Amino acid sequence: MSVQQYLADVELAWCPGCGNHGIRRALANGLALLGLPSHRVVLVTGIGQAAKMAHYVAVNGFNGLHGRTVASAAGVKMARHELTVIAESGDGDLYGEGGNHLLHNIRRNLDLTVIAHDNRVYGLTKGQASPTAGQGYTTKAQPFGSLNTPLNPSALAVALDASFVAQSFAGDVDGTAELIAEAVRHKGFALINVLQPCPIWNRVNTFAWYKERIYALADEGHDAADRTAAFSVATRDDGRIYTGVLYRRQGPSFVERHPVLKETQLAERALPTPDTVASLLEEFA
Amino acid sequence: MDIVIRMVGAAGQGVQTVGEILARTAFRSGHMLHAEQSYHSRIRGGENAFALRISDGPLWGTREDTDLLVALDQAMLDQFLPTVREGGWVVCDEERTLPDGDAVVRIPAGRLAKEELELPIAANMILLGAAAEVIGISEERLAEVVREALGKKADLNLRALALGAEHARRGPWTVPDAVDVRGQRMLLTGGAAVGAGAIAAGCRYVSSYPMTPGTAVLTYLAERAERWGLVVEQAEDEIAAINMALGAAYAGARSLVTTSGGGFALMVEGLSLAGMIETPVVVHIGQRPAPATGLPTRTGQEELLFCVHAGHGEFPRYVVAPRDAEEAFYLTAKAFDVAEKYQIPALILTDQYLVDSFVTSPPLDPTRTPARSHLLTADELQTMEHYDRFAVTPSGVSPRAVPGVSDKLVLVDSDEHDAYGRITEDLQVRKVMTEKRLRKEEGLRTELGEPLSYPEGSMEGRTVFLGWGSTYGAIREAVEMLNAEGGRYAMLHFSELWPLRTDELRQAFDKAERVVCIEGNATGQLAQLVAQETGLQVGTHIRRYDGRPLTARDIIEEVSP
Repeated sequence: MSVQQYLADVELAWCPGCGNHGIRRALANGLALLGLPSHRVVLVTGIGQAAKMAHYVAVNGFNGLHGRTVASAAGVKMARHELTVIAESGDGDLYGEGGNHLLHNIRRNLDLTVIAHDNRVYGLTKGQASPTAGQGYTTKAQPFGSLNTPLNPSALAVALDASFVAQSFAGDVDGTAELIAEAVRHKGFALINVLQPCPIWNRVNTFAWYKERIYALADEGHDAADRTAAFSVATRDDGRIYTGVLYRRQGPSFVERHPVLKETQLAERALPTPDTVASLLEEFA
Repeated sequence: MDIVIRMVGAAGQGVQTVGEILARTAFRSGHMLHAEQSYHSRIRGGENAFALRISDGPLWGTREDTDLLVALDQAMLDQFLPTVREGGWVVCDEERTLPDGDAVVRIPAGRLAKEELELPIAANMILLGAAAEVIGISEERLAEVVREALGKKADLNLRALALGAEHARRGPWTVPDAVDVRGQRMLLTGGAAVGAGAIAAGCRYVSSYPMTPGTAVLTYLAERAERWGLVVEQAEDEIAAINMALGAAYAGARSLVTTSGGGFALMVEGLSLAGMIETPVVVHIGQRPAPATGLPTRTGQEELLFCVHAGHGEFPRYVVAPRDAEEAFYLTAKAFDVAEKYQIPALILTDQYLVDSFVTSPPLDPTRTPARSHLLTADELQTMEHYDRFAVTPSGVSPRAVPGVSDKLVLVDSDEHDAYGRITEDLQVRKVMTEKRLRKEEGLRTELGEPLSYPEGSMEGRTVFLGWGSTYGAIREAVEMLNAEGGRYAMLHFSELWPLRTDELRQAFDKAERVVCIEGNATGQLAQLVAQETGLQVGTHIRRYDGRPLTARDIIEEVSP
């Protein structure tokens, strides 16, 4: 499969220099690595600059409401579980507006891949703090600086025993592509937090800022099966930021546990006939 | 025969269990029945009442007075004693305090349950046995039902029933064991009817957050999910519920969400998404009194205007409010079909009274709910060179494909989009797409059935009762009673409410001596909708909004001179 076939031939509304361009490339590369036919993939997105991805890649797309990305993706997967379902959106959508859906879909453990564009800022609404913004990060909406503790997506996901937790840097297209392929291959709920500079709004967490801090877990002999180790990497406070697979566990996914989904895909089940309806009504007689 | 046996007690005493057993026994004995349930919003204590009305003729609804009061505790006895009619009887434990009289049957139920059965909770079955003796219902039928319902626990309960019967005496009624009516009638609740209608229509996916009284439909479907091949998933919140349902519907699974007004309030952005991405979804809203949390376990009709207007922006929708359990089955199935055909959201409005009441109904006809596919097949898609999910058509309905069945990609977007589904800010496209979506309402209007007129024929010179949804029974009963005494009354009842048919309304207003609008709310929501759509003003209103269902008596008292 060529990378090009996954890229929609449309004008991109993203800013020049935005990390989204790299993530789009990584998504297409990842799908090419997997060799998935475009029509067997559904990309579910929410609202925000990141969420425009549904229009910029050539797969099936559900560009839903802000914050509801993972909820809609869960519905798609339950109805047609043989399709590859990827949910992708920004940090505001997935961690702010949609936080509850993230929590409970980690628990559901559907075989979904969630790609979070984490640039610590709201781009499309012009620069407000996102849930991952650092304490003291000043914006027009947070003139005293963000007072809140930043949300730590990796620690949160490990705490909830998510099936697959990883992080990458948008500037590393190949590494991100490989992680996406790995997350899709993994059977269960996978979260990839993609660190991403925002050249327009975020003057703190710049490309250079990330470059100074990120390191590959693979270089340090991390054991992704060790949940305690994963949690301590996710919560380290020495300023270094990990990339790679933080945590991975095996176990049956929602579909494997659900008695109705063992055989036919839900949406492929035949419509009832008058005979089936007649036996349905017997209990009232 | 028209008797009301009102079984009352605290939550946890098994009022519903004994009520259902007696209802089923009356059904098996060949009678018509209506059993209304009311309860407080708590798990133990409070009020629990099961009002079983039995008749040998058609029954339309509940009554507020009582022929036989079966009281399981003192507080509920005190509360409901004033509802007992002259000539009515009471069955209660010997330890209850109440004025003695010929019509009080005191049973040592608590003592017998402890001493004879070593099971204090069985006091309820002892009182049921006594009540059955008082009304002279068939012991055989009762035993049959207990065996069916309680399985292994049946023997002990049969002993309890016998103990109750021994200590009781016959009252002034006889509920005879009539002809076998199996096959001629069904016994069901409105909630079960909505659930069965959904399965009959090919519903495959249910995502909901529990909320009374919508939960009855959720549990009905969850219990039958494996047998009929549904996924019934409890969502983390109502916002998730509708967005999950839309995801599943986009992928081709017919989807239902069930809730109440408050939960639906959380879903309205998702409803608007359904309108924009032209993806069918059915939402069942069991009404209860609001605003906010309101009276969680009571009934009302307060969400009509909310449902007609819910969601930001302009898009077509189909809103129905079945009049009874029978129609709830057919209209639920129709809601799924209409939602699929026009790719719109459909809303089913019931209420606690309709959802929880057991009624005898004509047998539901499995051939009247044909489930038809409105999707492009893989073969049809294969022959297409290019596929546009939102192709602009004269009817406004675009041939619908779902992802994964062919090599054609399916893109939907909550932003304004072009025919393919691609986000656009082209304002000409915006105008075309708005008109395309709204054009679907023209076809939708052709699907609407006529409102129900009763009695058939002209409304000339009559007082016409205008109503919607579950108030049907009360209004029908009132019309029959008033006309039996020489009155000139008729009714025009709507169960398909949006889009609203106006021809019959105009005729009724034209012919009637006067029009009285009867509703379970305080502001006259149907009357407002009628005025909005026709300019016609209803002069007289009968409204009930205390959380209890409207009854025929509420209407008769208002109109009688």
